[in-house]
Amino acid sequence: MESIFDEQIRFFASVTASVTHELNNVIAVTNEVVGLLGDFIEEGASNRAVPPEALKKVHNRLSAQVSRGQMIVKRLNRFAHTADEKMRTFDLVPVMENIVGLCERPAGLKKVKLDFRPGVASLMLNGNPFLLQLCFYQSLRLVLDSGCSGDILTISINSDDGSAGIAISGLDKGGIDAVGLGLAKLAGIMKELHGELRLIDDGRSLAIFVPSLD
Amino acid sequence: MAEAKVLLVDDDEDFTTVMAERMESRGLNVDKVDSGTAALDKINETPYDAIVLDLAMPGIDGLTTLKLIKQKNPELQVILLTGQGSIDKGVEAIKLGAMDFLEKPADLNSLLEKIKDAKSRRMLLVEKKMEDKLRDILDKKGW
Repeated sequence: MESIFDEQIRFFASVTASVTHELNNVIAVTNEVVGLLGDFIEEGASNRAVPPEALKKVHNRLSAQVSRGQMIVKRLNRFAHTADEKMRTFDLVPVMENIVGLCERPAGLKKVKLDFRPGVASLMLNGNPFLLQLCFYQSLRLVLDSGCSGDILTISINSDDGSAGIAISGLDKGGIDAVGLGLAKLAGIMKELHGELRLIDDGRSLAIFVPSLD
Repeated sequence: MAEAKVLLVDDDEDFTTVMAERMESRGLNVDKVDSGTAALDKINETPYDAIVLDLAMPGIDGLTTLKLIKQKNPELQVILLTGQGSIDKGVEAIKLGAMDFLEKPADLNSLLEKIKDAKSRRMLLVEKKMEDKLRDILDKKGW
Protein backbone atom coordinates (compact mmCIF):
# COMPACT_ATOMS: atom_id res chain seq x y z
CA MET A 1 0.00 0.00 0.00
CA GLU A 2 1.24 3.51 -0.89
CA SER A 3 2.30 5.85 1.89
CA ILE A 4 0.45 9.15 2.24
CA PHE A 5 3.62 10.94 1.15
CA ASP A 6 3.71 8.89 -2.08
CA GLU A 7 0.04 9.64 -2.66
CA GLN A 8 0.71 13.36 -2.22
CA ILE A 9 3.54 13.27 -4.77
CA ARG A 10 1.37 11.33 -7.21
CA PHE A 11 -1.48 13.82 -6.67
CA PHE A 12 0.78 16.80 -7.32
CA ALA A 13 2.19 15.12 -10.44
CA SER A 14 -1.25 14.22 -11.72
CA VAL A 15 -2.58 17.77 -11.32
CA THR A 16 0.57 19.22 -12.90
CA ALA A 17 0.34 16.83 -15.87
CA SER A 18 -3.30 17.77 -16.46
CA VAL A 19 -2.65 21.51 -16.14
CA THR A 20 0.43 21.51 -18.38
CA HIS A 21 -1.55 19.59 -20.99
CA GLU A 22 -4.18 22.32 -20.86
CA LEU A 23 -1.51 25.01 -21.08
CA ASN A 24 0.01 23.25 -24.06
CA ASN A 25 -3.37 23.44 -25.78
CA VAL A 26 -3.40 27.19 -25.17
CA ILE A 27 0.08 27.46 -26.68
CA ALA A 28 -1.01 25.33 -29.65
CA VAL A 29 -4.00 27.58 -30.37
CA THR A 30 -1.84 30.70 -29.92
CA ASN A 31 0.71 29.19 -32.30
CA GLU A 32 -1.98 28.74 -34.98
CA VAL A 33 -3.38 32.26 -34.46
CA VAL A 34 0.13 33.71 -34.74
CA GLY A 35 0.54 31.61 -37.91
CA LEU A 36 -2.71 33.08 -39.23
CA LEU A 37 -1.36 36.55 -38.53
CA GLY A 38 1.77 35.58 -40.46
CA ASP A 39 -0.45 34.52 -43.37
CA PHE A 40 -2.10 37.97 -43.29
CA ILE A 41 1.30 39.70 -43.28
CA GLU A 42 2.26 37.71 -46.38
CA GLU A 43 -1.02 38.66 -48.03
CA GLY A 44 -0.33 42.31 -47.18
CA ALA A 45 3.16 42.01 -48.67
CA SER A 46 1.66 40.79 -51.92
CA ASN A 47 -0.59 43.89 -52.00
CA ARG A 48 -3.76 42.05 -51.03
CA ALA A 49 -5.68 43.99 -48.43
CA VAL A 50 -6.50 42.17 -45.20
CA PRO A 51 -10.03 43.08 -44.03
CA PRO A 52 -10.09 44.82 -40.62
CA GLU A 53 -12.68 42.25 -39.40
CA ALA A 54 -10.14 39.47 -39.99
CA LEU A 55 -7.56 41.31 -37.88
CA LYS A 56 -10.14 41.96 -35.18
CA LYS A 57 -10.89 38.23 -35.11
CA VAL A 58 -7.18 37.47 -34.65
CA HIS A 59 -7.01 40.02 -31.82
CA ASN A 60 -10.05 38.49 -30.09
CA ARG A 61 -8.67 34.98 -30.46
CA LEU A 62 -5.32 35.96 -28.97
CA SER A 63 -7.02 37.82 -26.09
CA ALA A 64 -9.18 34.77 -25.38
CA GLN A 65 -6.13 32.50 -25.20
CA VAL A 66 -4.27 34.94 -22.92
CA SER A 67 -7.27 34.92 -20.53
CA ARG A 68 -7.52 31.14 -20.73
CA GLY A 69 -3.80 30.75 -20.00
CA GLN A 70 -3.93 33.26 -17.14
CA MET A 71 -6.75 31.36 -15.46
CA ILE A 72 -4.93 28.04 -15.76
CA VAL A 73 -1.68 29.45 -14.33
CA LYS A 74 -3.52 31.25 -11.52
CA ARG A 75 -5.24 28.02 -10.49
CA LEU A 76 -2.01 26.02 -10.54
CA ASN A 77 -0.19 28.71 -8.57
CA ARG A 78 -2.91 28.84 -5.89
CA PHE A 79 -2.89 25.06 -5.71
CA ALA A 80 0.91 24.86 -5.37
CA HIS A 81 0.86 27.37 -2.48
CA THR A 82 -1.54 25.20 -0.49
CA ALA A 83 1.46 22.93 0.16
CA ASP A 84 3.48 25.78 1.74
CA GLU A 85 2.61 24.82 5.32
CA LYS A 86 1.42 21.49 6.62
CA MET A 87 -0.95 22.94 9.20
CA ARG A 88 -2.63 26.29 8.97
CA THR A 89 -5.90 28.15 9.30
CA PHE A 90 -7.56 28.55 5.90
CA ASP A 91 -10.87 29.31 4.24
CA LEU A 92 -12.26 26.11 2.72
CA VAL A 93 -14.43 27.83 0.07
CA PRO A 94 -11.69 29.35 -2.17
CA VAL A 95 -9.50 26.26 -1.75
CA MET A 96 -12.35 24.05 -2.95
CA GLU A 97 -13.34 26.43 -5.73
CA ASN A 98 -9.77 26.21 -7.03
CA ILE A 99 -9.40 22.43 -6.85
CA VAL A 100 -12.82 21.93 -8.45
CA GLY A 101 -11.62 24.19 -11.28
CA LEU A 102 -8.48 22.07 -11.66
CA CYS A 103 -10.59 18.91 -11.75
CA GLU A 104 -12.78 20.16 -14.61
CA ARG A 105 -10.51 18.70 -17.28
CA PRO A 106 -10.13 15.17 -15.83
CA ALA A 107 -13.89 15.13 -15.21
CA GLY A 108 -14.53 16.47 -18.72
CA LEU A 109 -12.53 13.59 -20.19
CA LYS A 110 -15.11 11.30 -18.55
CA LYS A 111 -17.87 13.50 -20.04
CA VAL A 112 -18.83 14.80 -16.59
CA LYS A 113 -19.34 18.47 -15.70
CA LEU A 114 -18.61 19.76 -12.21
CA ASP A 115 -21.00 22.27 -10.67
CA PHE A 116 -19.53 24.02 -7.62
CA ARG A 117 -22.18 25.26 -5.18
CA PRO A 118 -20.46 26.25 -1.93
CA GLY A 119 -23.63 26.96 0.09
CA VAL A 120 -21.60 29.12 2.51
CA ALA A 121 -19.60 32.28 1.74
CA SER A 122 -16.69 31.26 3.92
CA LEU A 123 -15.77 28.39 6.25
CA MET A 124 -12.60 28.47 8.33
CA LEU A 125 -10.65 25.30 9.05
CA ASN A 126 -7.45 24.53 10.88
CA GLY A 127 -5.63 21.72 9.11
CA ASN A 128 -3.76 20.61 6.03
CA PRO A 129 -5.37 22.12 2.90
CA PHE A 130 -3.16 20.11 0.54
CA LEU A 131 -4.17 16.81 2.11
CA LEU A 132 -7.81 17.82 2.08
CA GLN A 133 -7.59 18.52 -1.66
CA LEU A 134 -5.93 15.14 -2.16
CA CYS A 135 -8.85 13.56 -0.32
CA PHE A 136 -11.35 15.38 -2.54
CA TYR A 137 -9.41 14.49 -5.70
CA GLN A 138 -9.26 10.80 -4.79
CA SER A 139 -12.94 10.78 -3.84
CA LEU A 140 -13.85 12.38 -7.15
CA ARG A 141 -11.71 9.86 -9.02
CA LEU A 142 -13.43 7.07 -7.17
CA VAL A 143 -16.78 8.36 -8.40
CA LEU A 144 -15.56 9.03 -11.96
CA ASP A 145 -13.75 5.69 -12.29
CA SER A 146 -16.73 3.74 -11.00
CA GLY A 147 -18.75 5.19 -13.89
CA CYS A 148 -21.59 5.76 -11.48
CA SER A 149 -22.21 9.44 -12.08
CA GLY A 150 -24.54 11.25 -14.43
CA ASP A 151 -23.57 14.15 -16.70
CA ILE A 152 -23.21 16.60 -13.81
CA LEU A 153 -21.69 16.22 -10.37
CA THR A 154 -22.49 18.92 -7.84
CA ILE A 155 -19.81 19.84 -5.31
CA SER A 156 -21.26 21.50 -2.24
CA ILE A 157 -19.95 22.69 1.13
CA ASN A 158 -21.94 22.66 4.32
CA SER A 159 -21.20 23.70 7.86
CA ASP A 160 -22.76 21.99 10.85
CA ASP A 161 -21.81 22.30 14.50
CA GLY A 162 -18.03 22.40 14.27
CA SER A 163 -17.91 20.21 11.21
CA ALA A 164 -17.38 21.02 7.53
CA GLY A 165 -18.89 18.77 4.89
CA ILE A 166 -17.78 18.56 1.26
CA ALA A 167 -20.26 16.53 -0.77
CA ILE A 168 -19.96 15.16 -4.29
CA SER A 169 -23.56 14.63 -5.37
CA GLY A 170 -25.15 13.12 -8.45
CA LEU A 171 -24.13 9.49 -8.08
CA ASP A 172 -26.28 6.84 -9.71
CA LYS A 173 -27.58 4.12 -7.46
CA GLY A 174 -26.00 1.45 -9.64
CA GLY A 175 -22.48 2.54 -8.84
CA ILE A 176 -22.75 2.86 -5.08
CA ASP A 177 -21.07 -0.48 -4.41
CA ALA A 178 -18.07 0.41 -6.56
CA VAL A 179 -17.59 3.68 -4.66
CA GLY A 180 -18.22 2.02 -1.32
CA LEU A 181 -15.53 -0.56 -1.97
CA GLY A 182 -12.99 2.16 -2.73
CA LEU A 183 -13.57 4.12 0.48
CA ALA A 184 -11.17 1.95 2.46
CA LYS A 185 -8.30 3.16 0.27
CA LEU A 186 -8.75 6.64 1.71
CA ALA A 187 -8.77 5.55 5.36
CA GLY A 188 -5.17 6.66 5.98
CA ILE A 189 -5.78 10.16 4.60
CA MET A 190 -9.01 10.51 6.58
CA LYS A 191 -7.16 9.58 9.76
CA GLU A 192 -4.57 12.32 9.09
CA LEU A 193 -7.39 14.79 8.50
CA HIS A 194 -9.25 13.68 11.66
CA GLY A 195 -12.24 13.32 9.40
CA GLU A 196 -14.68 10.87 7.95
CA LEU A 197 -15.67 9.85 4.42
CA ARG A 198 -19.00 8.20 3.74
CA LEU A 199 -21.88 7.81 1.36
CA ILE A 200 -24.92 9.90 2.32
CA ASP A 201 -28.36 10.77 0.84
CA ASP A 202 -29.18 7.12 0.29
CA GLY A 203 -25.89 6.66 -1.56
CA ARG A 204 -26.38 9.55 -3.98
CA SER A 205 -23.58 11.64 -2.47
CA LEU A 206 -20.07 10.96 -1.26
CA ALA A 207 -19.18 13.30 1.59
CA ILE A 208 -15.98 14.28 3.38
CA PHE A 209 -16.44 15.54 6.94
CA VAL A 210 -13.62 17.40 8.70
CA PRO A 211 -13.52 19.57 11.85
CA SER A 212 -14.12 23.30 11.26
CA LEU A 213 -13.49 26.38 13.38
CA ASP A 214 -17.01 27.79 12.74
CA MET B 1 -2.42 19.43 -52.63
CA ALA B 2 -5.68 21.16 -53.62
CA GLU B 3 -7.76 18.03 -53.51
CA ALA B 4 -6.54 16.58 -50.16
CA LYS B 5 -9.43 15.89 -47.83
CA VAL B 6 -8.62 16.03 -44.13
CA LEU B 7 -10.56 15.31 -40.94
CA LEU B 8 -9.43 17.15 -37.79
CA VAL B 9 -10.41 15.38 -34.58
CA ASP B 10 -9.86 17.43 -31.40
CA ASP B 11 -12.10 18.50 -28.52
CA ASP B 12 -10.45 21.95 -28.45
CA GLU B 13 -12.67 23.84 -30.86
CA ASP B 14 -10.52 26.97 -30.69
CA PHE B 15 -7.71 24.87 -32.08
CA THR B 16 -9.59 23.08 -34.86
CA THR B 17 -11.25 26.32 -36.01
CA VAL B 18 -7.97 28.16 -36.61
CA MET B 19 -6.16 25.07 -37.90
CA ALA B 20 -8.98 24.40 -40.41
CA GLU B 21 -8.92 28.05 -41.55
CA ARG B 22 -5.17 27.90 -42.19
CA MET B 23 -5.37 24.57 -44.00
CA GLU B 24 -8.29 25.70 -46.16
CA SER B 25 -6.39 28.85 -47.17
CA ARG B 26 -3.74 26.43 -48.52
CA GLY B 27 -6.30 24.58 -50.63
CA LEU B 28 -7.13 21.64 -48.39
CA ASN B 29 -10.67 20.45 -47.88
CA VAL B 30 -11.13 20.23 -44.11
CA ASP B 31 -13.83 18.81 -41.83
CA LYS B 32 -13.60 18.98 -38.05
CA VAL B 33 -15.19 17.01 -35.22
CA ASP B 34 -14.73 17.13 -31.44
CA SER B 35 -14.80 13.43 -30.49
CA GLY B 36 -13.69 9.98 -31.50
CA THR B 37 -17.30 8.86 -31.88
CA ALA B 38 -18.04 11.70 -34.30
CA ALA B 39 -14.87 10.84 -36.25
CA LEU B 40 -16.00 7.23 -36.66
CA ASP B 41 -19.32 8.47 -38.05
CA LYS B 42 -17.59 10.88 -40.42
CA ILE B 43 -15.29 8.29 -41.98
CA ASN B 44 -18.36 6.32 -43.04
CA GLU B 45 -19.55 9.32 -45.07
CA THR B 46 -16.36 10.69 -46.59
CA PRO B 47 -13.19 9.15 -48.08
CA TYR B 48 -10.55 11.19 -46.24
CA ASP B 49 -6.92 11.29 -47.32
CA ALA B 50 -5.76 11.88 -43.75
CA ILE B 51 -7.14 12.03 -40.22
CA VAL B 52 -5.38 14.40 -37.80
CA LEU B 53 -6.23 12.99 -34.40
CA ASP B 54 -5.81 14.24 -30.81
CA LEU B 55 -5.11 11.75 -28.01
CA ALA B 56 -6.91 13.06 -24.92
CA MET B 57 -10.59 13.59 -25.67
CA PRO B 58 -13.84 13.10 -23.76
CA GLY B 59 -15.43 9.72 -24.36
CA ILE B 60 -13.29 7.35 -26.41
CA ASP B 61 -9.68 8.52 -26.41
CA GLY B 62 -7.40 8.97 -29.42
CA LEU B 63 -5.71 5.55 -29.25
CA THR B 64 -9.05 3.72 -29.10
CA THR B 65 -10.35 5.89 -31.94
CA LEU B 66 -7.23 5.04 -33.96
CA LYS B 67 -7.78 1.33 -33.35
CA LEU B 68 -11.43 1.55 -34.45
CA ILE B 69 -10.59 3.63 -37.53
CA LYS B 70 -7.99 1.06 -38.60
CA GLN B 71 -10.46 -1.78 -38.03
CA LYS B 72 -13.07 -0.04 -40.19
CA ASN B 73 -10.76 1.25 -42.87
CA PRO B 74 -7.13 0.05 -42.82
CA GLU B 75 -6.18 2.28 -45.78
CA LEU B 76 -7.01 5.44 -43.87
CA GLN B 77 -3.89 7.33 -42.78
CA VAL B 78 -3.92 8.73 -39.25
CA ILE B 79 -1.55 11.39 -37.94
CA LEU B 80 -1.58 11.85 -34.17
CA LEU B 81 -1.30 15.51 -33.13
CA THR B 82 -1.34 15.91 -29.39
CA GLY B 83 -0.34 18.03 -26.42
CA GLN B 84 0.47 14.88 -24.48
CA GLY B 85 4.21 14.87 -24.96
CA SER B 86 4.86 11.25 -24.06
CA ILE B 87 7.01 9.14 -26.38
CA ASP B 88 5.33 5.96 -25.05
CA LYS B 89 2.00 7.05 -26.47
CA GLY B 90 3.67 7.84 -29.78
CA VAL B 91 5.23 4.38 -29.97
CA GLU B 92 1.90 2.79 -29.05
CA ALA B 93 0.14 4.83 -31.74
CA ILE B 94 2.62 3.76 -34.42
CA LYS B 95 2.20 0.13 -33.34
CA LEU B 96 -1.55 0.55 -33.73
CA GLY B 97 -1.07 1.73 -37.29
CA ALA B 98 -0.74 5.53 -37.05
CA MET B 99 1.28 7.01 -39.89
CA ASP B 100 3.03 9.52 -37.65
CA PHE B 101 2.97 11.28 -34.29
CA LEU B 102 3.41 15.05 -33.85
CA GLU B 103 3.49 17.13 -30.70
CA LYS B 104 1.50 20.33 -30.30
CA PRO B 105 2.30 23.05 -31.10
CA ALA B 106 3.28 21.73 -34.51
CA ASP B 107 4.71 23.51 -37.50
CA LEU B 108 1.93 23.71 -40.12
CA ASN B 109 4.29 23.08 -43.03
CA SER B 110 5.55 19.86 -41.42
CA LEU B 111 1.97 18.75 -40.88
CA LEU B 112 1.07 19.57 -44.50
CA GLU B 113 4.02 17.46 -45.68
CA LYS B 114 2.74 14.55 -43.60
CA ILE B 115 -0.75 14.99 -45.05
CA LYS B 116 0.75 14.92 -48.54
CA ASP B 117 2.56 11.66 -47.67
CA ALA B 118 -0.64 10.28 -46.17
CA LYS B 119 -2.55 10.97 -49.37
CA SER B 120 0.08 9.22 -51.53
CA ARG B 121 0.27 6.28 -49.14
CA ARG B 122 -3.50 5.88 -49.04
CA MET B 123 -3.77 6.01 -52.85
CA LEU B 124 -1.12 3.30 -53.15
CA LEU B 125 -2.93 1.11 -50.64
CA VAL B 126 -6.30 1.63 -52.38
CA GLU B 127 -4.72 0.81 -55.76
CA LYS B 128 -3.11 -2.31 -54.32
CA LYS B 129 -6.39 -3.39 -52.79
CA MET B 130 -8.13 -2.98 -56.16
CA GLU B 131 -5.37 -4.92 -57.92
CA ASP B 132 -5.66 -7.73 -55.38
CA LYS B 133 -9.42 -7.82 -55.84
CA LEU B 134 -9.06 -7.90 -59.60
CA ARG B 135 -6.43 -10.67 -59.43
CA ASP B 136 -8.72 -12.61 -57.13
CA ILE B 137 -11.59 -12.35 -59.62
CA LEU B 138 -9.33 -13.36 -62.52
CA ASP B 139 -7.97 -16.32 -60.54
CA LYS B 140 -11.49 -17.47 -59.71
CA LYS B 141 -12.47 -17.28 -63.36
CA GLY B 142 -9.31 -19.16 -64.30
CA TRP B 143 -8.12 -16.40 -66.68
